Amino acid sequence: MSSDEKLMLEFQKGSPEAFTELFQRYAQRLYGFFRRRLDHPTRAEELTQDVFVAVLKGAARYEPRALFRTYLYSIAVRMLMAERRKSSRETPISENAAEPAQAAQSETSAWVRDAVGRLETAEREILLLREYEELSYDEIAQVLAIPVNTVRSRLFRARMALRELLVARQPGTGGA
Amino acid sequence: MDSTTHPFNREEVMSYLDGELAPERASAAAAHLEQCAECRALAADLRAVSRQMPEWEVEAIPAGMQQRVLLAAEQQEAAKAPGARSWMGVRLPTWATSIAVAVLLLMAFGALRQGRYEMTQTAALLRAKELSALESRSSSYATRESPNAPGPPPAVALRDQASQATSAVAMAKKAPAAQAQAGESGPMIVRRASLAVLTKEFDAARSALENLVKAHQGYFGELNVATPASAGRSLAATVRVPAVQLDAVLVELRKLGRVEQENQSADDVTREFADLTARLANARETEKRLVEILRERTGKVSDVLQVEQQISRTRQQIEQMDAERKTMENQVRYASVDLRITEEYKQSLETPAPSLGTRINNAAVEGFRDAAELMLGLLLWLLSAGPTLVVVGALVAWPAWWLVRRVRRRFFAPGVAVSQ
Repeated sequence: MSSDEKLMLEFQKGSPEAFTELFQRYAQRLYGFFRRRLDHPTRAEELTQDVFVAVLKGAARYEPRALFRTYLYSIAVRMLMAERRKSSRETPISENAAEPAQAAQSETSAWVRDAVGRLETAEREILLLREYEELSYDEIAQVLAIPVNTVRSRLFRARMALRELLVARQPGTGGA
Repeated sequence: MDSTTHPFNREEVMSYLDGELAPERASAAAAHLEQCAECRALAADLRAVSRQMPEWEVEAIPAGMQQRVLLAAEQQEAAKAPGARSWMGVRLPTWATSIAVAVLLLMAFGALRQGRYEMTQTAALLRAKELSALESRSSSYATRESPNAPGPPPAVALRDQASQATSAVAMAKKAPAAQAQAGESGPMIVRRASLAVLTKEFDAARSALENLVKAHQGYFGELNVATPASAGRSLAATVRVPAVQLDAVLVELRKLGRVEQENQSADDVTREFADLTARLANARETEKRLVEILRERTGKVSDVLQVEQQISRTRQQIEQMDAERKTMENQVRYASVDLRITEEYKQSLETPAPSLGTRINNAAVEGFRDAAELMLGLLLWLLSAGPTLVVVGALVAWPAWWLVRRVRRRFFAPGVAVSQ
């Protein structure tokens, strides 16, 4: 299986299969990225689409200096920030508002979502990138343009905060 | 848990679980965890937290997105061919935006100043240019207007242009002749005459003048009749008649009364006209080239904006020169005669003062006319300066809007942005 970077280079040379492969690898993850951070599924879908369009259009400028997924999530993070700026200007909605679309999900799922929502924004972002996007500390640092040490300490704080919430909720399962 | 009692701090335990420690450090951490119950408890907690995370699932991505992505990319590519306005749909860093804004403002300011300078210089340039000077200047224009070659800084270019203008003025003074090769359609002469006539029959003279102008297909550029209470009436007019008929018109005008003063002048504008025509063609060529550049090349946002600005400046120059050319053509086609007819004043006993009603009426009419002229002047000014104001307004409004938005965001928006 070729690496993401190799696929991107192949796509640069004009192989549409390479793009299809990259799309299949990342579409769901990227959708999850936006879906966990935005209230509206349609917006998440549109932004996912926008990121891939940006990749398509920026393919000529891509240089395999960084990992493809760092590149991809950097675009995604910037689009997310732009989206938040826009929505905070248009309708100052509360970020943690429960969305009806996910109301029917399991209790644990709702709990996790709720607990993550209580984290401080900067810590939450890092936790999400680590847990769901499965980026390494270095990659997170690159994507958010912050030092690795900051990533580590914030991630630790986020997990400790989650642990407190977890212990408070179900005292029996804390020390497994 | 600190480094005096533990060889690993808590964050390192987490790094170990995340596979972020170097191999030797990781095996040391594994060994330590076996021995240290406290660190084991921490590791267990961290694992427990991470185990909960996957519970938050996200529904599957809607079908058919890949096709939509490809389609959207194609559409955007087609729509935005002349240059990508945003880089990959991603916001530029704010510092880059502000630098770009600052550069654009400076450029706009420079362009305005230069435009004003060129306007004041235009008269001198028109009167003065030798053909060689024209050529060298048009090449310097080309250098300055090419968006890819920066050329000399505006101040230097202006200075060069100014010195060329003055030297050309000097040359023109020394050699006022030798202009035959310049025009393609014969020499272009602007003829002017001024005539002052004293008449006994003012009304007859006036009607004769009107008939005369009509007969020669001319028109009044301006006509003022003064009827003071205790002096002779007078008429001041600027008459425009076809240049070829000027001599005939003058002969007839002299018959209106006793000629007190007469003056004729002919101004050769052949070279100015050729100069203007060449500059106009040159500017049109430049505009065409710029439009081609904009259409064919894609570049950075700042480059695209620069080219667009250059195009609008060039268009402005073209319109200005076109108007000048038309004015000049009109001046050549129609000679102008400044005419003054004065009535020989006969003192009369009954010089009735105008009635109160008439005076009120006159004042009202004059007031109305002044207001109308003011409005007309304002309208003309708006029409001539409007496009520039719109461009400058847009350039100033954008950074202002950006600034306001930034300030508002800083003070009023909830802290939702990812911390940097």
